[in-house]
Amino acid sequence: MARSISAAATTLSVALALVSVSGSRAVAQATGPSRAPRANAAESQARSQQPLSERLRRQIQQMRARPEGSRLPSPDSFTVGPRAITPATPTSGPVAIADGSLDVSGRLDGSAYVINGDIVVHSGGLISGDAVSIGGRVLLDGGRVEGERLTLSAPPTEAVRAREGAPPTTWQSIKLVLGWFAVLVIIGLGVLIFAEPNMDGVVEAMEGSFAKAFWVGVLGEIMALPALALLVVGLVLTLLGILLIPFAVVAYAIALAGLLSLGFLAVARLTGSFWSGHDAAATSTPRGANLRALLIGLVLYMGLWMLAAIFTWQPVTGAILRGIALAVSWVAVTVGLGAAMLSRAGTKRLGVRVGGATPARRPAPSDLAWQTPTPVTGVTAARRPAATAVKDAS
Amino acid sequence: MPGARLIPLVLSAAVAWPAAAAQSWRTVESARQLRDSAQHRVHVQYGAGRIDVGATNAPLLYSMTLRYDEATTTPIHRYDADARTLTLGVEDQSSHFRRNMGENSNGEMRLALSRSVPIDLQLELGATKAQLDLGGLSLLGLHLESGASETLLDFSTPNQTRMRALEIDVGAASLEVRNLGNANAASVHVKGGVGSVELDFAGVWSQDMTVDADLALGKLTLHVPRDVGVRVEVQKVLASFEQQGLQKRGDAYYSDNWDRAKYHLRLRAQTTFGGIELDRADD
Repeated sequence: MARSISAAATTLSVALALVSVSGSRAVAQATGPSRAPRANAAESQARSQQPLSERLRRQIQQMRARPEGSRLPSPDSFTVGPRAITPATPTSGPVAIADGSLDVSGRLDGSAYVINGDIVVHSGGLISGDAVSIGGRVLLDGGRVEGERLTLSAPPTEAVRAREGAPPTTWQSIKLVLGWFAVLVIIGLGVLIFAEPNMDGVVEAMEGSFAKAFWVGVLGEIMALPALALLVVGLVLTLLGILLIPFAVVAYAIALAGLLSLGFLAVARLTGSFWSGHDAAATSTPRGANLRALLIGLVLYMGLWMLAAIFTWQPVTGAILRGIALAVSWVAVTVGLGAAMLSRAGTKRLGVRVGGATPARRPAPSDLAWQTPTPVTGVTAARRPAATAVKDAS
Repeated sequence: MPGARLIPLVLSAAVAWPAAAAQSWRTVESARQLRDSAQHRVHVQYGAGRIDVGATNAPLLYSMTLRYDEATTTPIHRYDADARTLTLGVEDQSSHFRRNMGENSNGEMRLALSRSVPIDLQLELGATKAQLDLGGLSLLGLHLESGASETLLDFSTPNQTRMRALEIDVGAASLEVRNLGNANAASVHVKGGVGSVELDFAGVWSQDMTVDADLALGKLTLHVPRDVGVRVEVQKVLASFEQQGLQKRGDAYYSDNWDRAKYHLRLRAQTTFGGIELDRADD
């Protein structure tokens, strides 16, 4: 009997304990939102004693230096960690918090500033000034903000800033050069297919007078903008031409870009022809020889940029190589532009080969051809002009 | 075009690597509780990017979300409670900002204004793409100034108060104004530089309207509901005018329903180069 009474008492006490625990949980759940700020307040008391870290201090100073953060109080006014303003603890003056949220369920006479946290204004809560959150949100949960509600996304960290400001990596530079090479090859193929005679004309103009082409190119670069201005002024003076100005400007830009492109590709082809093997040139078609020369030329010019890209990791060497690549490319573009201008985009033949299209550099005859007395292309070897032989052999 | 592209490539690769830097996009959200329904003056200035303006039913004077590059721009959200003046947008652009305008075109501003406050609205826009739906606001006046932009201004629902003046001044731009009948404005001034201006007079008419349209170079298109009487005075130099069945009386062209129409549109249009086209829509 006593045992059964004892067992019943134990069961009852366990049941009561369970009821008590669940009841206290229910109460806690029912009053959760209102009790949470109190818990936060207690926690914040402990955490607000933490000193402001150097990182936070610097962040606040940076924000204060900018117009959008100029109203922030000084770093010394900030406390670290969450804070709650309850109906029992009305607060006046600005409240500033870092690395924590502010729960307002009472009255705050003044403004609230939170960095890296939210401002939550619960039912019955009131902020008579502004509510400013940097790196968080201002949330109205039934409360009011009489001033401005301002949310500002967090400033980028120093690591992000450093990454944004950093120059491209070596691999990025290499990819950039490869991309440009691909673009140039594609455009070069287009020119070879659709405008090969024009390219021949530009190449011939370059062969005729390299120096002249260079200086004409320099002049063209200097005069490009003044010429455009003159064109526009001329159109304005004609009144009716005003309508044509937008078209004229676009047409001018396209024409200039076309001349530069054609010129540079011609330079690349000419350069490549000096490097291409005679045997291969002799055995291929003229267009094939031109394509080979063009590709070799582009590889040479872009190779300089590739070299500079490879040394991106080494600032001094990389800069020197970029300077060299820049200088060589500029000379190439300038000569090409000059030759394109002299030859009127390759339509006017100025070179040594007159009459008919001569699409490819003629491959040099083999040595045996000079030794045979048999006439070659109608001229006996003994009478073949020495200059031509030297030129072709080159 | 390899040569042409080579120059920017060369320059960017050799010179501008360090300067390719630092755009730092941030977002600011600003809102202000509505305290009373007194008249406010709202000035919006926005240089480059995309801007959307509309109305809100929330108990707010305004709500703004602004995405901007902190390296080049400074957001503005000033409120003078005594003068009841609100200034929003981005700070007047520096030369640095202008140089980088292309980059900044990724900026964005969304603004919602209270329906229940009478507002004198001034919009000062630069190179922007603007979508302005001002329907349902209580606009006392609207002054829209825009540079090189693509602007769509719509009064999707009637303006809740009578507008004293509606002034639009656009530069090299494409401007489309829809539902001008809802604007509740007696007087509309449109001044355009170069571009196209399209004015649609649909909507709920509540009074006669006088429109002065001055376009230097471009096309002015007018869509007017058939039940509105139209009187058009045109001054044009080297420009065409398609009058769509209007009859000339004296110096002006009149629609055939001019004498019996409930509401009237008096239009003075002036253009130098380009054309004026009047379209009588069925509404």
